Amino acid sequence: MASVRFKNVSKKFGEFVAVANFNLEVMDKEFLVLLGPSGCGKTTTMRMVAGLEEATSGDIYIDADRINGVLPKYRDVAMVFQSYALYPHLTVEDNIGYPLKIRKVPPAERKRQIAEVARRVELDSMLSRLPKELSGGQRQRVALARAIVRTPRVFLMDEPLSNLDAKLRTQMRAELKHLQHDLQITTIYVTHDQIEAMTLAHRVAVMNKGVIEQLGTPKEIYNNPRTLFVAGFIGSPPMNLIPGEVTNGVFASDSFRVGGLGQANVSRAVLGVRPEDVHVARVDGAGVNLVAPIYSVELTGESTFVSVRLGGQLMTVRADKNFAGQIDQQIGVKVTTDRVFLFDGETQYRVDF
Amino acid sequence: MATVTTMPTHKRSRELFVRLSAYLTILVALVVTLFPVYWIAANSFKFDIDIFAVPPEWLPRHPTLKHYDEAFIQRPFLRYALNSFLVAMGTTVVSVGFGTMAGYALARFSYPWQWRKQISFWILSTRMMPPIVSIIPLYLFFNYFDMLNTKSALIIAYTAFNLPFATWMMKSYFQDLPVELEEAAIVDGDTRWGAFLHVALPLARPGLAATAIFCLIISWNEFLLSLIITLTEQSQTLPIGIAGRVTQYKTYWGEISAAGFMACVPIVIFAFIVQKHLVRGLSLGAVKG
Amino acid sequence: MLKADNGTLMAQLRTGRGLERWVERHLRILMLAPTVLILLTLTIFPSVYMFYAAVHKISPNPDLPWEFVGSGNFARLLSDGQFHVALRNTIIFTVLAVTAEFLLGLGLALLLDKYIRRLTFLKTVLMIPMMLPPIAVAITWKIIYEPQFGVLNEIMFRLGLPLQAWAGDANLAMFSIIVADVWQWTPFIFLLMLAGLASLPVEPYEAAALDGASSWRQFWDLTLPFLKPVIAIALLLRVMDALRLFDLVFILTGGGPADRTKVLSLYVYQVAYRFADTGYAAAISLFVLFATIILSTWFMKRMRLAE
Repeated sequence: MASVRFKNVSKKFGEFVAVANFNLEVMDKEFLVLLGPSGCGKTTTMRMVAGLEEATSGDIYIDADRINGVLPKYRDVAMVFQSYALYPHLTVEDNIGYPLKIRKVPPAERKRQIAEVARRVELDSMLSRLPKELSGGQRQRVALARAIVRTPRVFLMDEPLSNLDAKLRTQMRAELKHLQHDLQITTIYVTHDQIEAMTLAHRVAVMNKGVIEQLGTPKEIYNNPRTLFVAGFIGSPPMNLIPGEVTNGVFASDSFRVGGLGQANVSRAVLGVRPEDVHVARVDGAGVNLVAPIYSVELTGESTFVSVRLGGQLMTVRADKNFAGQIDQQIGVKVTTDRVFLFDGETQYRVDF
Repeated sequence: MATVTTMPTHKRSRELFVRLSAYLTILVALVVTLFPVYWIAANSFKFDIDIFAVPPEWLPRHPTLKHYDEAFIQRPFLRYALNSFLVAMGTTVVSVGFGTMAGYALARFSYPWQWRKQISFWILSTRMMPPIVSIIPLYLFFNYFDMLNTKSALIIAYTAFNLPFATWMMKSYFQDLPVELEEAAIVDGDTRWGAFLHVALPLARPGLAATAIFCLIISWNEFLLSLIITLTEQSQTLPIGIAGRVTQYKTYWGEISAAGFMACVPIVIFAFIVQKHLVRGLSLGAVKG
Repeated sequence: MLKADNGTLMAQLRTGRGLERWVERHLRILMLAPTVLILLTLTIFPSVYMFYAAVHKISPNPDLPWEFVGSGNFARLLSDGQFHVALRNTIIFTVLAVTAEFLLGLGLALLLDKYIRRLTFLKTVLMIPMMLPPIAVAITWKIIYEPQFGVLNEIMFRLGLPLQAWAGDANLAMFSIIVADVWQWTPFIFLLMLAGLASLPVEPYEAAALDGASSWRQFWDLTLPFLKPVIAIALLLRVMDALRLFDLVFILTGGGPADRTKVLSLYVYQVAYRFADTGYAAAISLFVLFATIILSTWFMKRMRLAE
């Protein structure tokens, strides 16, 4: 069993603060995803666990052991790199066996373990090949095999799927999830792809500018974003975020009005509503929140996303796949009031109502 | 349409002219490049009387190995060549050995206060130093330690120029390698040093070989330092031996042609071995050909 | 699968192993230190020692003590006509030789780039001169320049031109040295320019062609700016090399006739070994050292070549 705990961890590169006062506990056997835009400190956080970076201050624990300053080789963690980092001069077999060789596992035993892992990731027929003779997906499997061959205490994965094409990525995602479930190894996974985060994680930590904006299950993150950043980052197409003013529970921005927000009063408010919680309605329909011209219509297959002009910005509405409308045509927009979020523009936090 | 798919005649003939003149230039360049090398080789196989022939004898009519016998059997040119070889090998081992480590450190590690940049720059500037500047102190130094006329003195002196070269070359080769490979090795359980030894070094092997060959060439060709440090047959190198047969009163044309040509042969072979690395080697790693 | 006994693993985890840990922590210093120490010894020591020598009058007789003369040797630089000649010759050689090599090398590269790019073997053959031992090059040209039976005079004779003494002629000696140097080092510029041209991006040229730029304009507006870093490096290395010219002069002319080819390196050598005036030779060396340091630093700063 292994848990990973960060206690007040900070990392500075000169003046630049990459990770700021970071606190997190990754549970034993958990699949935790660090999600955020590039430069948010997620990779740095992971590299501190691997021992590739040293924390500037704070403590990192694996179980009860403080690992600050411990040489990477004694941390017993394994990592899958974005570029896979396969040793180009070694065969698949030697690549997978490298961690064992370093640990002086006797050759016969090594061979047995390599074979076992190779079978698991379906590489048994490729053991004598060199990395350059493999396809992208196969290279990815070699990287995985190299990581699992010694059953580390913690698995670290740095955007492992981002170099694969879209179709292969979906397939490998499923395999990864299955593998982690099988092996029951604590996993920290870094990505900027929210779909990966949602599908893989037990819990997601959304990071921005070196701090955790929100930590929770994918469902919580999606349904209950705690900050404006999380609200805008999660969801595709992203949540509509409309600045305005709330007085006595009524949000107003230009021609757009939404009522029923309790008794809230926020002078600099941002109203958030996901495209699927907004509907197209007749221009003269009852309870229409906005009447505006269509800016664009995008059919995705299962549904149609319609953008309408709202002041200087656009609002995305999810409509039926059979929606037919022309650009510049006026349509009505109706918001599902109990699915809107209200944020304070000053503090960036969500306001309950 | 014809006007679109074929060029007008005058344009085509102009291109033909450019192409022809380009190949002609290459031909002239080849002749100009190779003639002197051919000429020294040709003369080395002629009897003295044919070397002095007017008009020159373009092809040796009576080929002979006489001058090779003179130089390498009767006179100690074999000894000089051996000295050259030993000194070049010694210099190369020392320079490439230490230079690889330093190059790796400068390619990979960070140092406080921009030291990395400063040290790189300083190492490069030692390469720029004209050898004439160091001959006096080196002479006095080797004199003091009774090391004049020794091969070790030559190796030390040559290292002053080859070590910065090797450092910069290896730095540029290591910078070409993705750093993740070494990081992967470290997470896989290797030490930093182990990652260098097991991953970076094997991958830099072509660069290492090229750097070593360049060091061999530089040392093999060196003249001035050897001229000052060595005065005895037991320690002098090939270039000194050759220069010694150009005297104020008589130049031993056949002998120096034979020895000179033999001095060139290994260099030409080396040139072909490192042809892919020529640009980088000659620009101290600055231009990656 | 592999699982170390947790107890021992943790024991190591807490303590690490002494030596291994120390090596890992100090690796960046340990790997760099030998080189830095060797180079310090081989450069700083000579420089300091030379400065010490330069302020003394050193007798050829090693039993006599060094006589302190302060700035005396440096003052001699100002009035020493031979030194001025050597300095002038060095500058003339460097400027003429490097300019000729640069123009020839760049011109050939531009002309032949398209045609020679795939002819790797030919390219390597053309590179041979610069790899050869300078002494071998010197004797080769000595044979070619030989006034009585040399090839060059044979060509002059066939062309009906007057025969020359070449390296032995006061007016042609420097020219002869330059020609030999150009023969040896034009390939260097040629090779670097070819490498620069090979790395040029294609799109800007396509864009320029669409915009209707002539090939001359494309050369000035695209090729030259793109090549600038490579040109800077090539020129820097060539100038530094030309300033240290020794071997060719030593064999071809010995500095003559009438000191017309006496360059700084040769002069230092003569002062130190023929006149055994070590103190003064050290002073000239110091001058050369500072001149090169200033020149190369200025050049590298100017061209932003520091990294």
